[in-house]
Amino acid sequence: MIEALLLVIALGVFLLLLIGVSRDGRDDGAKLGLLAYREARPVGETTKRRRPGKGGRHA
Amino acid sequence: MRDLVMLGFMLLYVPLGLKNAFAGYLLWGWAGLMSVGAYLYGSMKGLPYAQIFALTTLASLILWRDQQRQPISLNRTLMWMSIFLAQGFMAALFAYPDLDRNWELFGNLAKTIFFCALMPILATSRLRIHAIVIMLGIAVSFHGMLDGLKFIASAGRHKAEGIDKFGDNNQFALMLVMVIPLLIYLFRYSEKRIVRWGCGVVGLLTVLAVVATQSRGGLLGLFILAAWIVIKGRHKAGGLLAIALATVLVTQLAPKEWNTRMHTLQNVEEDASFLGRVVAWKVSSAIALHNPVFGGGFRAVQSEAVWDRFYGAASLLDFIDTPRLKRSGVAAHSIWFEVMGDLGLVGFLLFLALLINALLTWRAITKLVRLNPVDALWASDLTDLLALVLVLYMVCGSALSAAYFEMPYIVMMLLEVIKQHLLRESVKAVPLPSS
Repeated sequence: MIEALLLVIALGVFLLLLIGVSRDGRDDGAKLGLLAYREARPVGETTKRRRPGKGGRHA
Repeated sequence: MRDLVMLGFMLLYVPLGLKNAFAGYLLWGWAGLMSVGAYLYGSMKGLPYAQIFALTTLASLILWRDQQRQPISLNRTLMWMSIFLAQGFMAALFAYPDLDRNWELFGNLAKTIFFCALMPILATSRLRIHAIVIMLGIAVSFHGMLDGLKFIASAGRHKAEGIDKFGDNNQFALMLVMVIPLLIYLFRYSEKRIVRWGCGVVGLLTVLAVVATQSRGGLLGLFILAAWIVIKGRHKAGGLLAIALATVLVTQLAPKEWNTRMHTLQNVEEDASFLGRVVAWKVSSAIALHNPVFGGGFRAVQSEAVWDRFYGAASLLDFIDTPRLKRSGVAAHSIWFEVMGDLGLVGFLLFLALLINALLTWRAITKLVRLNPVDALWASDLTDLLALVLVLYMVCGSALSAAYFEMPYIVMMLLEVIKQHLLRESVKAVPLPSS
């Protein structure tokens, strides 16, 4: 049962990938979550955003 | 029920593949590695998915004009692959008679190289390269995810055998360990948190699946992976934390028999299984010495008639004493000796040239990245991990018959595609002279 469910999820995820790829060019395929990639961050840079008022950019 | 669901997905997949050649190309690669038929039990089980999607891709390439398509050109990797394929054809043609899978394996190799030949035409942007990595990740790690979950659910008692397509538990372990570097890349470079963590969890489950195969080669692969992360990784602290987490999970879940089997890695000289492999290597190299140009044909060593003829003949490993084997027609158990016996010494040198070419491509990419170190950091990280995939293949494959697996060939061409992409980008970046 779980195997069947995971198979359906895998098939669905792959379908999302295909939709993203076929939208590329016409639209920005990377806007679809699965294909979206980011640039490398320098080592040591945190992923957490600083909150305003706590010494962040908006402080 | 599963078959009905699959039919539903096919009704969506095929039009997408027909509409967009690159989508068809991803489907083709996915179908070959995922082997979805292995998880179906009804009328959809025997469908030739890879062939269907290959035809879909070719039809789409002929019917529509893909804006991002590059013209067909002969690159160095494709050149070596083509020569290797030609050598395979000659070996199959002059093979010993009655080899069970001679033409079947040549056909598989030809399909793999044809698939790779189309990659430089279609994978022409970073997005498309990223999509190929996702495709490989989804297709292979699906098997790892399932066996990893079964391993946890059975508290370590489940033994992962894999599916027929991948061969035995050792070959399955090799396949799984080779996909982990790609999951690491996706974990680091996917924008959405859900995708990142999905890759992280599936990666961890795949590590457990490797343990569940009870393959010593698989464990060796995990050690290499851990060492690479510590030595080459830019995020050493995160890497060490992941290794520590995986080690705790493995030691808690692995059964006693697993520990006993893994300890035999320390005394291979007394290990009957290992010495049996050395005998197979001796026979394979004896076939190659007798047929240096075209070898004995695909899987010649597994033919009892060929084995019996070359058992005890002069080989490259005569300096190692081995016990007498009662069995006949044993698998080569090494990518190196497999190619040597099948395609001769010439085929072995071509196989070596293919792998050396891939490592040279990796070096060339490293040099190209230095020209644009910030924007091309992704390429540097991806190619480092792709090189790790090849290192894992070369080390773990040294004790397995896996010379014609699709994955290493796809990785070799992916390295070439990244190089071509960076070259195009560097040409674009050069300012035009002002008139």
